[in-house]
Amino acid sequence: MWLFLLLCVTPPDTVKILDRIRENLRYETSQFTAQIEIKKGKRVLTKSFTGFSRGNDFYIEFTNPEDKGVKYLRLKKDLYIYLPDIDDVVRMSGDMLKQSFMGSDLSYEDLMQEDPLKYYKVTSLSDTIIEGSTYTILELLDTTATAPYYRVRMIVDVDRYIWLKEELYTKSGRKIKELEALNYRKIKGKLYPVETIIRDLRIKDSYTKFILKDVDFEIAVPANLFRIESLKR
Amino acid sequence: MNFFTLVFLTSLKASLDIFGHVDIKTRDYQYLLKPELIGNFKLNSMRGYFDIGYPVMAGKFASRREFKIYQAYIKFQGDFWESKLGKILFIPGFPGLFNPFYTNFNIETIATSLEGEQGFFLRASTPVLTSVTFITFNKLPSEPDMTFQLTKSIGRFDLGFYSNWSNGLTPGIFAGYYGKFTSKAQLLKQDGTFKSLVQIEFKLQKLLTSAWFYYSGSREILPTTGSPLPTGKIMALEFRFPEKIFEIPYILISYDFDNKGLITLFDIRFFIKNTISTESGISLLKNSQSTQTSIYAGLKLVKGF
Repeated sequence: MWLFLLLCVTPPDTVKILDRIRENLRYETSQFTAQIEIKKGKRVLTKSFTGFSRGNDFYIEFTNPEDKGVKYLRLKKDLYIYLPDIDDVVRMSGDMLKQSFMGSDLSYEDLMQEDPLKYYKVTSLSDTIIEGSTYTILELLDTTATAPYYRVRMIVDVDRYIWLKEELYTKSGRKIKELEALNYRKIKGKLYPVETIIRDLRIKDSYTKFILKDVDFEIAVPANLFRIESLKR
Repeated sequence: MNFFTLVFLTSLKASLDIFGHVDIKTRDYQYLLKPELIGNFKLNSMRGYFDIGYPVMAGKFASRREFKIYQAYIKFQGDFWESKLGKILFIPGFPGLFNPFYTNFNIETIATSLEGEQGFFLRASTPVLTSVTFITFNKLPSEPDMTFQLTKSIGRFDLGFYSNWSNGLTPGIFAGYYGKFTSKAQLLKQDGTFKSLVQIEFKLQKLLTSAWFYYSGSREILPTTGSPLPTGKIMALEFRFPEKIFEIPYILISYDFDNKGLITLFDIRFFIKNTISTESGISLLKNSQSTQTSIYAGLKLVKGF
């Protein structure tokens, strides 16, 4: 009941802020070249890949020498992984998607969230000052009971409608992950985070850095790419 | 296309595996040193792939070294078909432990290389069905083996029919369900007896768990650690740890109903950097006749070009 009341008294501006942030992150198609850097203690693994996305579906091909030829294809709720050593495709779904994506702090499930903020409603809004600049803190709560994280605390720049930092909490109130946008780039009129760091707070001294080296939106996706057969090409 | 163009288009991965396995009680040991080179090139609709190695094995009683071609093939493909010629790896049904259609699949370590068979492979896809025909010439060329597989995806299900012609027909069927959990079943009729495997994959707390049950009307040598034991009924639980990044543990607990034996494997891989990983493990086998413990450790160095 208290949650219902809270949602009812949420000022309309907060809905607008969240919608504008989501709008900045939304696109129909994309082409990208990216790198993930996975660090734990003194150890660092680096993976690079290129790919395309269309709606919720994506196609990824790894280009770092050690994983070269490994390809992922998301079609609807399933993920298909092409393994070059067996020249065949393995299908994954459901609980299997909770596995780490190429050994990173991201799970396959995280990767498959096309609009990760769609589950949430803003429950409170406040201001904070960081390094002399004023930012807004949004408290988001999962109202659908289907979000991977129950509560999100988000620091946003309301002048540019971008998020700078996200803290992800479980239902028991434990903060488990932190995301920080390190760099934004304007692409087709939208400010998009091209360098993000993800820290899984359950793992000491670790992070995953996700860098979009090259990205473009609303491009023409090659015909027949989003088919299982295309993985074997 | 000249040689230098081909080299330019080829991506290479070179690795060196050092692996040792010791039986604690008998002091039997086996060491493996394996340099391996994997190459892949693509040119329009043609692709070439090779995986070659020179494994040097030394044990208490024997040693062996030989040049191995694990796989080497040329592949041509169109939008709805692909054909391969050479030494080709094809795993029918669902790749994994205890697969009744493909018994060469063993417990995989960092030093594992799967070996293909010489033959011709053709895959054709239509919106209705995907068919695979694999003809191998490992025996006399006049006596080829032929494997034929049909698969169809219907929503959350994959359904398949398998058959092999080699001194008679060996038919099989398989089905997979991909929902919140994954379930796979495979059934094969070979030499008048049935072999079946049921597997369920699900999340148990923070563990990804696979439960397997294998049943065969006759005893088979199944992939277990330590000395291979012929068995017809085995149940196994496999645990993986999806939240582990650099240190990846793996646990396999199997119960062999025929020999009344418990086989347990604890394995851990360490990824030190992109190019270096290690693996170590211990396997315990206990049945009414004996107890066997073996340990193993390995190092893999890999460099891509």
